Amino acid sequence: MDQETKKENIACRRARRKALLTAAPFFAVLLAVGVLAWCLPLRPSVSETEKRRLTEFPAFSFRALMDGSFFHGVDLWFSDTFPLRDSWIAAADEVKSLHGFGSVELYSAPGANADLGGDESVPEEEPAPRPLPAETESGVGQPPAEEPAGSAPEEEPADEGWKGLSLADEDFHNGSSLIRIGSSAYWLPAYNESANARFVSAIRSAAEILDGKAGFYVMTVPNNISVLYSRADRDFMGVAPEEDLLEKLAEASGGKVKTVDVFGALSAHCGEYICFRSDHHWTSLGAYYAYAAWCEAAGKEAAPLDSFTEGHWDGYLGTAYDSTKSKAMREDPDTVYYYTPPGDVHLYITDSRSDPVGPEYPLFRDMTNAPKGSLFLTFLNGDHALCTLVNNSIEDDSSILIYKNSMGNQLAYFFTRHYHTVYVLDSRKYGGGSITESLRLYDPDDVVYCFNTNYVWSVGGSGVIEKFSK
Amino acid sequence: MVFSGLIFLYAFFPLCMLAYALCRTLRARNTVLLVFSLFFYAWGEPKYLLLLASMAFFDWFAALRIARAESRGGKKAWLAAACTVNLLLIGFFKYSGMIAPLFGEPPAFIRNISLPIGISFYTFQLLSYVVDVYRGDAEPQERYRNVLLYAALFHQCIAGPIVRYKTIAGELFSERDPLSGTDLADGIGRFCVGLAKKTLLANACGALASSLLLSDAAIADKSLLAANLAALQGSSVLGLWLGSIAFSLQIYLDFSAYSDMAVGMGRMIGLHFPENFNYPYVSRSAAEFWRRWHITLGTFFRDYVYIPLGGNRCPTARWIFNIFVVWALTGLWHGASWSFVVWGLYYFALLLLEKFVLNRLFRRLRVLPHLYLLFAVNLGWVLFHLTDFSLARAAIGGMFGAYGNPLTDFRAVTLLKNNVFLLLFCALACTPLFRDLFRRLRARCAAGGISETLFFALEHVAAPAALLLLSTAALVGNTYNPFLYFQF
Repeated sequence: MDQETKKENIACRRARRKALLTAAPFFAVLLAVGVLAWCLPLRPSVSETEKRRLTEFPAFSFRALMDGSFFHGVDLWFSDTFPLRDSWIAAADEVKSLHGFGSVELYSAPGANADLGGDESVPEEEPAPRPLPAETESGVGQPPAEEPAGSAPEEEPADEGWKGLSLADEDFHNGSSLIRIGSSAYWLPAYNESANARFVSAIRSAAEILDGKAGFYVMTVPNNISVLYSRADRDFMGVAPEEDLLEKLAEASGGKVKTVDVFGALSAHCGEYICFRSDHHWTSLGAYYAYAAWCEAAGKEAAPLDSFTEGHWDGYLGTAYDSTKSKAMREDPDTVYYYTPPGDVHLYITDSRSDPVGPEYPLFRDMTNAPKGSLFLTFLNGDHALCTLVNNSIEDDSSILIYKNSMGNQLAYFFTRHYHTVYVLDSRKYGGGSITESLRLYDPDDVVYCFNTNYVWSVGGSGVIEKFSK
Repeated sequence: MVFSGLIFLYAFFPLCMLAYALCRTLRARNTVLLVFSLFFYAWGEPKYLLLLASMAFFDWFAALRIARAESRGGKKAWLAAACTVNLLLIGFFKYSGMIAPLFGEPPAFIRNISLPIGISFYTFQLLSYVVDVYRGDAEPQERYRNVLLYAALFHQCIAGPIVRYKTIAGELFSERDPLSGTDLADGIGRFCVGLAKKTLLANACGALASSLLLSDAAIADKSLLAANLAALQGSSVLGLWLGSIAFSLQIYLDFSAYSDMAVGMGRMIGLHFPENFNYPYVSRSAAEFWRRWHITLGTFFRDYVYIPLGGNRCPTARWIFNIFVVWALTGLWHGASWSFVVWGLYYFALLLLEKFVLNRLFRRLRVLPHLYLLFAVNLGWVLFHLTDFSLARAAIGGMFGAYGNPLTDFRAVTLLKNNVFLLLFCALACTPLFRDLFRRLRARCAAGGISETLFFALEHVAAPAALLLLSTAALVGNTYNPFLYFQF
């Protein structure tokens, strides 16, 4: 080998070494993150911020292999459960914040909201309930012997929520249009003509059945943007005038229904903390003002707010945060206030219509160690088929039945000031029942329907209510 | 599997590179590439692996028969057979769902055909192989596995570039320098730029386009047609223009990103794929645009359709017919829908307009031709994106206020504010500005302006690693990560 070739070889080797050294950081990152990605114990199985179970590794089958769904499932699992997921997402949010200078963000696409809550999902039919048990010392049925009163029984793990507790309408809300302005999120009214007609028909039907047997009140809760922003501002934003739609709804409902002016009650207090910033629910204060409006409609005197004992949980990040992952919200989380009613009040819960009472639970769940996204579950322990609030300090047999979605969870407590028993039926969980059957089973003095507008204007929501109102 | 998927980045690709680096011979390296390529293809569509392998087999066999045939007639017969089989297969799998309804209600098995991933790309590659062998431009490949590797090579199999056999055969089968010095570093840089372009820019533009100009899923859902029409007709002029511009940016950044990644990964192992894009949005005419956009497809149609038909060395009427065929086929290649044919013929009309009118008018102008091109291409992308004619009509009408729609609205202004820096950056990324700045900076460093070593470290060490990490962050938890050209 001559000198020239030797030199060339040496130069070539040096160039190659330099190139490999140059490439080393890239491959080091690839390797480091790759090793991290395959550390299975580091892979999360639940997303706290999104309140959902992350994608599981797919089950293998020959058919799934051949049609590509197995590999597709592996792809989903790999990216959905990537280690340090929340940190990566936070870093991506930082990059995204460089896209522009607006503090307002819009979520959802045109055309996508044509059929909000579009599935006709109704609770599964259940066998007819057993007769109500005889009254006991505490007013209604006792909890099972193995589950002492006052302590929550161990729940089976569930797909959503915390410790098996869930709010059934979160998915629905996460699919709706919303605007984020700073740290506050606002859902837009999603009026649907046919769903509205179904709801009107449902409450007219219920009014006919209840006529002369129980008082019937309808509380339709508007979206937060409609009560917190002026009409002019909403017109500018292209937001449908919800007050007009609610007025039309009230007119169409007929004279046998007492429509509670929830919109007016909330609008009058629009400067107060009546709606969460990071969640689609009203706060307990908002629910209290609606309760006061109900009292006015029912000719009762509202219990003063200071007669309740206030408690709170800090750091709440609700459904809007799930959708937006907004840094502004994260830095300015909500506080979940709750008001404990005075008197000897007990809460009984059952998830089965065939079991009319169920075991006793604390009035408000202790959320000390709960994830920040689950704090709303303190009310009625989340959504259940039937929650029964019993105030033994009221010695008559008065009762009220509230048919609701999660908007009713905070509201229900206030009624304990007027009734011995408050039956709270969740429209999404209480399978197979009807207002006729409920009248027979619970014999309430009054019935309240409490739903938010976007729920009744969804095909799924109005369908469930229509089915029950027979 | 897509190049911008986490499982590709952190499982498939490192394993492939590791196995490749451990091999000592070209044959072993090609075996690794073949095994990984087949696995890559099977990941997306295992059942169609057989189709790919069969087509490669038939074309390998036909090319050998062409080379060995003694008569011209025999060569022609085998060429015709290969072309017929390839075109029938792509016709059946890609276009039967489009053609069959013309003859009544299509049977269930036709309705259920799913498009094999990458069939448009690998069919064209295989066709180019057989034709090149017939023309004597390429030697026939004796080994079937080599033809299969050429067709299935994961770098370009499912979304291009369309690499002609004679372009790559030398490097692929005999003379490439594996993991060579500058190629490896350049390849890494190119790959990371492509990845970042896709994950940080194209996906963000895509999300914006979807929110203003309907998502692909909404367009495909016929039950939402009325709602979609109402949404488009009710959108403001600003919103529709913003949506169409975002889509124009997305489609370029998305597709060129994929090509960057393919070219980059090829460079890492010593394969030099042809460039597929050359800043098409800086063009001054549609003709120039198509010389800069999807260059390998344009080259294919030029060499295998346009020139065989007579090119431009023929009477004007014949030339018009030739470009009509080329643009109808270009449209058809992009999708099994008549709207794509219309989109292709839209460019046919633009080319005629330019040839007979605009070229003379624009001869001495500088800015106006650019504006014309951007305007024309933008409208073209609206046609391309909204595959339903009524939706495209609604959007284009709305862009000019035809429905009395407002000039601006809260939604459009909000989205513009939220994305103004992104859009500006993406617009600049569509020009050679960053490349030129970079070159100038490098030249300055070479002249001793700042430390050359520092610049080298930034360019080849820090930047790729940073882009990889940023892209990973953008991919984790991101639901919007489609590759637009997969559907073709």
